[in-house]
Amino acid sequence: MTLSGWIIMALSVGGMTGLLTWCISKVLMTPGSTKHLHTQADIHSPDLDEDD
Amino acid sequence: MWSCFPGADFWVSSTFCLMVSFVINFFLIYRGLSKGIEWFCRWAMPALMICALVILVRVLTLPPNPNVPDQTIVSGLGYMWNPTGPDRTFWQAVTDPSAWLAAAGQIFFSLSIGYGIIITYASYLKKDDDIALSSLTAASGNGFCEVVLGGLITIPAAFLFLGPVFMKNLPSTFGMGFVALPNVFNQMFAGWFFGFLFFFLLFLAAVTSSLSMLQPAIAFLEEGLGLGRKMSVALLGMITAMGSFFVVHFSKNLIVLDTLDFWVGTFSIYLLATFHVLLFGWIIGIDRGMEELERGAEIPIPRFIRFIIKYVSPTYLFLVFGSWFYQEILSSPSQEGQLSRLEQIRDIPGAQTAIFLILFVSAFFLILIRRAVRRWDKIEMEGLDASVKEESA
Repeated sequence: MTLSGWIIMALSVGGMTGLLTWCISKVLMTPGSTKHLHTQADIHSPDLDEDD
Repeated sequence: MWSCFPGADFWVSSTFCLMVSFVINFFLIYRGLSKGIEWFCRWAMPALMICALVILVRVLTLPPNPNVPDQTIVSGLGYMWNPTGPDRTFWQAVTDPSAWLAAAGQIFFSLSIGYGIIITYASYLKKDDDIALSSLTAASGNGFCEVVLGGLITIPAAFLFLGPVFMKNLPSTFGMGFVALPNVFNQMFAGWFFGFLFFFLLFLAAVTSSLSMLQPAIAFLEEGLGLGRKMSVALLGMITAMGSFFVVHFSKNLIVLDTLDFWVGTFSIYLLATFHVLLFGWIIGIDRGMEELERGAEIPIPRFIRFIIKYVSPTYLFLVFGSWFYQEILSSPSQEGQLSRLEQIRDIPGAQTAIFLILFVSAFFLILIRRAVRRWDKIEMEGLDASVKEESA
């Protein structure tokens, strides 16, 4: 593995890990986050209420 | 694709697995995104990530291949991450428009941008819901899985066990993980357990992804054409079954799957995502768009994002597309006997079938969209008439 390969790997892996860590910490530390922050699983599409 | 039954005919076993997956998908989409799926997303996705981290540790501590001592995990990492190689310089790698097009298509596909999923789910949000932090967290989680877990597990492991010659001659990268990872599990403590858990969770994760891809079409058929859920699921099921039939029938070198994947999963998504960027930055207007994004946002959005969305992104997307178009059409390269995408369409019946299928389904949905627009116009007019009558009464 070349030096440039190590550098690109370190930047990519470190960058993505750092960004995800920051985002998760923001989500967990945001007061009342469950009222404003949503995942796909929270979404209740209107067609689910239909009887058909 | 993978074989369900060791020793069984590959075509029969993979078709059986496809049919089982097909039935599970359409049963779940018919029942709606049930509580079971919600529970799964909440608990099993973190479990999948923990499982992947355990596998990552094992992959990074694997000994060299005893048959070929040169094939070590470090050389596998080099195969994945080195920007230069024996047949290309750094500059050639960076200026290859096909690589940039594939990368953009991949990230648009995995973030569900450009083909209606995000727009459909966004329509279910409330006005003051956060978009900025939610979407950044989803994108970074996706990036972590693809770059860190995918980039450090599958390809280095495949290099270690299968070697560079095998990887270079792969007709398609579909299924590389299904060949490489069982070798990793064979060298792990309780590998059978981790193997079962990983593939089972991965299968369920794939089901949730395909459900989210089916949901916009179901929503369109129900809301646009006024069809009931049964009819919508049946119609979409027929179209999907037709596509699956062609993929199975022309299974040599996965030519139909590969052609569909490129022209729909990369090319079309790229164009549609470019249209989305122009729509947000230029047609809706960057100020109005950012106002929507900033409402309810839990994180501050830097000012330079406006400049990037309005100028940098469209320029980048047009530049990459123009370079790819020039390389593919005007210079028409046929390197080492590999046909270009357009040459495949000209010479291979499977590729021609896939293109015909894409055009047929596109035309069919354009007709449906036209009918839906007329229906919505009619409903709007009837609503206006009713309100006028109420006022006059």
